[in-house]
Amino acid sequence: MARLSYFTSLLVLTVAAMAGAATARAGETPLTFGPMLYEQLDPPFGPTMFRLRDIDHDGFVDVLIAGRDPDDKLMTRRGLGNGHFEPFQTLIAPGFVDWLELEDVDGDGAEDIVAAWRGDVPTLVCYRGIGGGLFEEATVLADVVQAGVGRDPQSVALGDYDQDGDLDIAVCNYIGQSIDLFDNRGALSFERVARVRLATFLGGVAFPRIVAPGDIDGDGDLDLIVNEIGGGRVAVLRNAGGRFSNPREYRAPQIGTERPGIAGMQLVDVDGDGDLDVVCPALLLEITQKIIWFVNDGTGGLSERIVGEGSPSGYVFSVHLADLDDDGDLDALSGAALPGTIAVGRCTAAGDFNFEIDIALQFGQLIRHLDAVDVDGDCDLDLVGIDGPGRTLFTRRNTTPQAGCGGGVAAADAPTPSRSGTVRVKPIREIVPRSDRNGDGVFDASDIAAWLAEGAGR
Amino acid sequence: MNRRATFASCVWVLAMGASVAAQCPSEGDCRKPHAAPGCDMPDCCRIVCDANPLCCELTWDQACADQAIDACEGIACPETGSCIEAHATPGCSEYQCCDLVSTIDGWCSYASWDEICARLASEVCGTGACPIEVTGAIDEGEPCYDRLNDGWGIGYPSGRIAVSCGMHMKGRVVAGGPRDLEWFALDAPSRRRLRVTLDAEFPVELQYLRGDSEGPNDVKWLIGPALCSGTLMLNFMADQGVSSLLLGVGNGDASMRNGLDCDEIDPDNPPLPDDPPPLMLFGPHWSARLECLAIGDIDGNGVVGPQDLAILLNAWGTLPPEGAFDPRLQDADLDGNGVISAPDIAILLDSW
Repeated sequence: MARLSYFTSLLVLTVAAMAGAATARAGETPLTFGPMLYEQLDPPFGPTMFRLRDIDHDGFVDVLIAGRDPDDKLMTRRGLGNGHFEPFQTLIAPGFVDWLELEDVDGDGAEDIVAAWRGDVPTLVCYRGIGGGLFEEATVLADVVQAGVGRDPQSVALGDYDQDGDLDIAVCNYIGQSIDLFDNRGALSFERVARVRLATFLGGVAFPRIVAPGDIDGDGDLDLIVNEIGGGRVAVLRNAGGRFSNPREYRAPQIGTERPGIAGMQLVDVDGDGDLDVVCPALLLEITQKIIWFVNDGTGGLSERIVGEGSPSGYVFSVHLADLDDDGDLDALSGAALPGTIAVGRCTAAGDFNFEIDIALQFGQLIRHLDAVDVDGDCDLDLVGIDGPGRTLFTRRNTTPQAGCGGGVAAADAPTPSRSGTVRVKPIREIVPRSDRNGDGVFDASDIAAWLAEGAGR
Repeated sequence: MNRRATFASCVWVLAMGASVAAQCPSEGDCRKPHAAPGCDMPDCCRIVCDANPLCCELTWDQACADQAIDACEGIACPETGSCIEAHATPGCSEYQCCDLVSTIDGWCSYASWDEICARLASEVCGTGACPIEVTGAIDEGEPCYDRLNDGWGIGYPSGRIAVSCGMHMKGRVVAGGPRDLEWFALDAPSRRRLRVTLDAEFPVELQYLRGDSEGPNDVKWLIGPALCSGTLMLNFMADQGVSSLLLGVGNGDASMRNGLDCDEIDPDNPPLPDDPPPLMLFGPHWSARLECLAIGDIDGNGVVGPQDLAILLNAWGTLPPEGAFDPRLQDADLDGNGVISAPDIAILLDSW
């Protein structure tokens, strides 16, 4: 009874197994996951994204969480190996942090956190790793005056863009509508060497949110790929000897009668042809949500665009492709808002972009970020995500039977779903403001995507 | 008696108003009490004194300072810091410049005076109006409240201005709602050399965009010549296929979305009686002439000759594969393949 009550209050509603579970193709098992495990994060922290890494080297994946916190914090949590994460370290961040990355930028052998403080005085910072999974408080790498950080830096991307042996930083400026490149000069000294403006041809505002590094044209260096929420486009900045081209902008395809808003982005080789493709959630005013595959033609061109199934409800905001059943193709996780929805789509054929939705679970309000990592050591990929407004980190352990993974049964302890708190769901499409947020003269899906990205429900 | 009282009241109110006006701005930080009436931030001073005239009549006491802190959030002119240097606080020290820049770019008054604010200040502050005289040009035919030639840069279908060689056009742009851009269609079956001659009363953002409405699109170049810097003459190559020249308000750093309103009345959406008058920090007019040059006329002097050949030979070799392209440099890549080589000479000689 207590358990029933727990799940009633916690998870709210399982829509699920829409048609998929009953109609899996011959010889293929529907994807299944264990019960939702979750951690309620202390308010007023509102998580925006996370990175999963074993930072304390204890064999279990830990989590570093970026977020918006009027009390000036970002946090790490230690993975227990059973899908739960306990508080580990809280760091000071005087400014919202929408994104963080974890790499050894100072070359001392320990991984460091690189992040950007948003706010009135945008600041690029590094939290130096000091071993044992712990980090120093922030060292300022650049600010408005020093090296010129742009307006509203919402994401960072690390890579050796000039191939000089150290990690440089690309910063995506949401309000500034630009990408800044900071060159690593050693000893945590960074200099801005380029600013590339995005979508200058738009009458509205492009609102670039995520910048990600990848060798999209296969020439051996790291290019930069950006999603533009307001512009409904993906921009590719090609690297040539450490200098970046003006962006080439690929428009999201028309789906039905509308152009989608694209709040998220993942670089992944969808078709296994050896090059990086781009996958985005396709937020639509229509009820059924989609995901888009921008197909790499092998030279970095993304003109071909293919639409697949996303969340069957809400407004899709995040997407992550991973092989969840170890059958060699990529399945699709998509997260939506209003209501919060987590959809698990099973790929119906290798290299294809068709998905059967095996699970569609309503949870929280806005699933801002999803990932698939083996958190319990049973060698299959588990689902980890965050609900921003609900201030929740959640995990679902993969229980899909699959070859080579012990049948998908974790070796770690059974789940212990005993956290307090509730996650509420509102029937909520009505609360979306019908405002032209990107200023392009119309209200459409891009405006909803931007509204969600900027902090709906906070 | 009653009439006398009314008259006296009117005199008092007028005197009061004049006094308030006279005290804004005055010496003294608006957010701190000081003995003298009024304070140093004109807009904030007026707001506080409108609500509490004693702040401008007697002294700027703690109550006035408290009210300023409550009521003047976001008003940061003047503030400490040079207007032409980036600093981490909003606003800058020269009121007129601070107010002008902040009106164009709100970030500068509520967040921080970053390098974009500083450069904008250096470009527009102290620059007077630069009206242009245009005769004999064809009007673009777009009321400034409408968006008829904004290409695929806005959320609903719009057109582009069809131009042909020798065409001289004029028009007006505005900054917001959505940002007004003039899209000139330069579509052509082959690569060609064009010259645009541009005059404008506003800070110009001029860019050359390749690709059609479905994309992909890329801006080959974007320039923001200084305000009131006179006629801009640009000799550039237009690529094969669909491409457009885009004119709007902005500079090399950012597009401007405020400060240049439409002053025509939209019959479908007329202004309300209480609406403020249109804000026009600059003139809205532009004039553009488009000419077609011989593709080999690299220096744009009207003749394809030895000078063009010399330019081509000096530029011999592979161009930087990526990076910003400045159309103000001479473009000798006649076939557009990124390499200055024998085929370019052949094209040049063909147009000798």
